[in-house]
Amino acid sequence: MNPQITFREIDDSNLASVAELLARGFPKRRHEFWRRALNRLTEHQPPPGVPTYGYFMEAQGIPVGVVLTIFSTSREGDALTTRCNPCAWYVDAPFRAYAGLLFAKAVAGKNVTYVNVSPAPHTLQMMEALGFSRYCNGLFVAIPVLTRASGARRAVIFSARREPSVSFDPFEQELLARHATQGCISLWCATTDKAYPFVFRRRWIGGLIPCMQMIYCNAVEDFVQFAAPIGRFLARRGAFFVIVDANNPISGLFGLYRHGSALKYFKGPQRPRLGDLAYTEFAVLGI
Amino acid sequence: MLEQRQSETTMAVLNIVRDLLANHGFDAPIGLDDNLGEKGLTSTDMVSLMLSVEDKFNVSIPDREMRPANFRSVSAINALVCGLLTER
Repeated sequence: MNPQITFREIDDSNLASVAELLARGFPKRRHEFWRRALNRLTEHQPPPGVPTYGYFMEAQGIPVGVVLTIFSTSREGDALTTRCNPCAWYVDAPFRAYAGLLFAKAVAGKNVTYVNVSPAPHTLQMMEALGFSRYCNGLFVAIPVLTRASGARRAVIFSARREPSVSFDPFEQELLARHATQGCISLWCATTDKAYPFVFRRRWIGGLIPCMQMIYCNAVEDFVQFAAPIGRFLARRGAFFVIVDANNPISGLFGLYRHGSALKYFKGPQRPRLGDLAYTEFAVLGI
Repeated sequence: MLEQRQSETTMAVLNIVRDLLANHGFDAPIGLDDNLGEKGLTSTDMVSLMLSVEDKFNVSIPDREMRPANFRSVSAINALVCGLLTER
């Protein structure tokens, strides 16, 4: 007998069983991690009219597959666009034939830019079939504290809890504040005329070495320009390394480029820029 | 006329499925109501099937129709395609 299999949008009543499924699918993380992750999605406040959590596959009333979706509003120039990071995609083995359709349903919006920031190698062929293109080929492991200060611009680094006394962008202020509530380190780097936003997430290289992952900056060039003071700020918090998405070695930054690591894909109208992982699974869920 | 179109659609869907299964070295006969997952179509094949059907019949499968039941068998896909062609 074939059980009736359906796709449904996740709602508040499914959270416990979806967390259980995620813990089964990603056993390196416990059930409590996934409950917290889903709670963060509850607090995340996506744009109106899109799923809060994502979709799940159900067989005879039991969740057997899931894909989470993190929708957000991003800005390119003056235009606001909708972005979505589908993540935590898992389907129990007997139902895996429909896993691709579940994912396809999650990325079916026409005016949405979808970013897949952690594609499993065996899914790349499917990503490309669904119209995803690679936009990030590797990562740069920087040691900003060893980067020589460039130019003569003085900069002060401080937490985003403080409002800069110089010009800043309110959209970015909100972005910093929201990421701080999600456990990221949100900073302003203020010069005499303008404040530049930066968001980092603490991670561990090989599970041992503390580092920071660049979640958001206005432009990678900003990070290069202020690497020395930011590096000192982060080093005082125990992190000497910063991981930055890159397609080449980053000129002016001390560190090492690794080609072929941390590939990232997108599909949709707005090609993501390097240095912008805002509201992705790294930032919101802490994956 | 309608029956002829349904028959053509069925054959076209069947050929797409056969080609996908042939990529895995499967050449067993396929019944119209056979469960395609059980016949050996993988997750990637199902997505290829969906995209091939869209290309072949020049239709776009709407979000509401993207559900397992519509891709379970050749007859189910055939019914989906015929419905979409009629709506056009």
